[in-house]
Amino acid sequence: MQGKLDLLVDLDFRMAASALYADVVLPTATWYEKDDLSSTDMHPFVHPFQAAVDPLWEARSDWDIFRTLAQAVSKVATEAKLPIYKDVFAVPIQHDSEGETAQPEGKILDWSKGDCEPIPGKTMPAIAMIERDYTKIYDKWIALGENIKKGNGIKGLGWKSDDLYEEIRPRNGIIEDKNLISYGLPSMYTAKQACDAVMGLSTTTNGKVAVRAWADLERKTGLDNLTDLAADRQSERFTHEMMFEWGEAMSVYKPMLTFKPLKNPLKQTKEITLKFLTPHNKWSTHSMYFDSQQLLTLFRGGQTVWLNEKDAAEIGVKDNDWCEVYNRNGVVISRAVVSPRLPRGVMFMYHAQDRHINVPMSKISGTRGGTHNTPTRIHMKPTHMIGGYGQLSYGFNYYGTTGNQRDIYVVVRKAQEVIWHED
Amino acid sequence: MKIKAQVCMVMNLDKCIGCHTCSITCKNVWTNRPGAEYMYFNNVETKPGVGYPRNWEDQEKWKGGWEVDGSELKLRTGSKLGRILKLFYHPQQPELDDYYEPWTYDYETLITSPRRKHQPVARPRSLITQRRMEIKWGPNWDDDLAGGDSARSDVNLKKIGEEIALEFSDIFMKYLPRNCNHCLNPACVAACPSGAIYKREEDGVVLVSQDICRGWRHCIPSCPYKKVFYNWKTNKAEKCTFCYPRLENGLPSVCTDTCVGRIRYMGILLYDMDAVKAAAKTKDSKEIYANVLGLIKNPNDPEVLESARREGISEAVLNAAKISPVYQIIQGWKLALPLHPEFRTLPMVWYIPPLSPIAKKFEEKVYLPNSEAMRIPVKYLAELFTAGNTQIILQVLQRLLDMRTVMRCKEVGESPPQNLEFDAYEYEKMYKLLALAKYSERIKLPAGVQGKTHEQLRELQGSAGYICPGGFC
Repeated sequence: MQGKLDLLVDLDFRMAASALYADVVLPTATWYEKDDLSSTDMHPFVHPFQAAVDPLWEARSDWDIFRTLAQAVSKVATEAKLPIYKDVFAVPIQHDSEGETAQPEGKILDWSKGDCEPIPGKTMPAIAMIERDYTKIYDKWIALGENIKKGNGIKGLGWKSDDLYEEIRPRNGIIEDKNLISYGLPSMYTAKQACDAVMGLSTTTNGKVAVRAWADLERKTGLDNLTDLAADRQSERFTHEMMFEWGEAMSVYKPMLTFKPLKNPLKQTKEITLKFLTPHNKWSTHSMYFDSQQLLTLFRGGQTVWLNEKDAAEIGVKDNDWCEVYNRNGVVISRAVVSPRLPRGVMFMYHAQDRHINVPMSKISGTRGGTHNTPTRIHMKPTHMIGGYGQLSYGFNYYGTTGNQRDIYVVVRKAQEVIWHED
Repeated sequence: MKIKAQVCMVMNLDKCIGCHTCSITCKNVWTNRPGAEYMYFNNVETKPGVGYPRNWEDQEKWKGGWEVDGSELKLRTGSKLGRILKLFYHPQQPELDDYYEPWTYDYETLITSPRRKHQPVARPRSLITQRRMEIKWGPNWDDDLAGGDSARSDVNLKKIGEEIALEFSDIFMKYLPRNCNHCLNPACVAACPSGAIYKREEDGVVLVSQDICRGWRHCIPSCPYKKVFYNWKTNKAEKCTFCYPRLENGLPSVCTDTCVGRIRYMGILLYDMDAVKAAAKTKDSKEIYANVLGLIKNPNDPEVLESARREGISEAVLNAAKISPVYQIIQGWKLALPLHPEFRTLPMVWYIPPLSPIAKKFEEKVYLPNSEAMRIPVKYLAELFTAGNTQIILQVLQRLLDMRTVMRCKEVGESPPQNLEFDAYEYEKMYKLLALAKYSERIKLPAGVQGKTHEQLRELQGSAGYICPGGFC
């Protein structure tokens, strides 16, 4: 595999596309084989799992895999006598922090052009330093460090957590190896201990902590009845100059740009240009489960693209015919589902059907047909990169530049040949 | 009056999301074995569509179920003599391609592939021939109106007569999950030359004895719903068992238990067996539904209870009948309807028909629609559930709409309209059972048919796994 990626490691229990392209595949345990937590920031609850059976062979929980890696890295670092590195890096202005007021009038002031003074954390990202000791990654991985005793917080709220930390110590047990820097700290060696630690600290799972967070909010707002705050969100109206420039200060309908999907379509046979949409699949949770024999049997047994009956008739495509779907970004080769359920001018490729089940080669691209993301390309939308302005500020894994990769057109034609290339 | 107990299921199609969990769980439990790969005791169809097996509803073609010939009820597949002559070859036998050729994939290719120029893929292989296969049909090929021609081939659409153009603007669809209906007048039981299929005394579950079955395959074409299947490995017939081992322990069938949309209800009905023949022979098929309602008896009626006890029905079953959610839905509120009553088998899986979005031509003028303004044509629903009687469909849909109106009034603080069929309290009960649909309220089954096992207790105790004198216990 060519490209910029030196190493791809996949923790997986399915030999799907990610695993096929990885340099190293580490077998991981499935849901009933491990202790773990599942949730998202959109959920007011947490799902704890408990192992019902052991994983097969050398598969293990993700936590255990990372611990094993930490141990290996620390060992190599120690043997190589790596010193402690000091790293300087930029920290974006954070979501739910004072930094959100960096552009009070919605006007961009660029310090590099002399519009204002360069002030880290106010008119530019903050600059921070971190120490990296690669020989101690393992020591730190298996324990809950003491920094959390200073306090915890999220969304601009803070609360004390030293007592919570002390409660975790007897509950989890401590690190007993005197040679480790984490000696005496609460253990997070096993996945179960990690889950217990998180649940002891989180507002979602520990009512005592939730009360503290609300109490902090009461203090900050001077209000007692906090449900009043849930109303009256100003999130639907923006007054930043970049939003005005893009015509997105309010939620409005913007029609799709009519641009050509590629400069010169192949025109070797009848073709049609369609808008390309990728709704959620009913036969999978993203790519999970799509490749199960039971679910594949319950529909068409492989990748499908849907299009309107009349559009299909224009290019001589019947239901279940192989089609090539292409634009400047890539080629999908898939069987067509021809239906009156779609309006004209649109193609659906439900996501995510992956590309390891029943996918032929394409003569156009010279490689195997792609996935729903093949005809798309990630566009970094400038309005997503505003930063330091209200809720449009960066938050790790929460709010940050996402791609917008729809508003795409594809050219569709009946597949000329269906070749498999099993070499 | 001869009272018998029947386990009955109701499915609320207003809530079916077409997730197919019921099909998958049933398949994983019952039909994931050689000879049974193509079988779906439970399947879910998109209507309009041809279903599984293809066009099963077309009895002109398949000749399933019963017909009235003069004053007699006869199997459509022919008289006893006629069927004896067809003993070794039945012309209406569905073939594998009417269902589909089951397949799997060469998953090992992905794992064992050596370094190659092109990424490996897992390709399909037939589970019958074990050879490479092109996928041309499946058990749910026209899901969500995939393949417009399939929708147009729906025999119910054809019967309506007028042109129902399947255009995007007024497109309609619904899901129809179906399994064996454990009918009161099963055609499969009547057709079997060996008498291998029987309807259980205690709960009406219809089963195929694997010991007696000789593989004559007359049951398969006779079932108008095509819910008896032929196992090509054992050469015997198999079918949905209503998960009777679970029923005997008070647990619902696997499909009911795992239903994500909580659309399924299971409970006991008491019915008068003496009235079954007359109901099946009802001359006008549009009247069959009313006559079936007539033979479903009130579990609180002392005469009914007396007859039931005389027939040996246990107290546990009678208690379950008294709190039966299916009785409430079928007889109390008259919300559920049988599937294709004109087949005359008197199915015991019933369906609450779905409401649907407002049709485009009414969209601007209507706020709360009446049943005629909805997208799914009333005539279409009538073809499915009432042998064409649109009046009944309109009444049922109106009851569902009235329930919504009452609940909306409650929410916004208005007083409900006058002259509704039931009082407000009744509609709230309906809402609770249909909308909130709690597991504990949807399923009311008696547990433990203790009679026989009690007598054999001495023999059975401590005998699992040990050899008793004279052989295995």
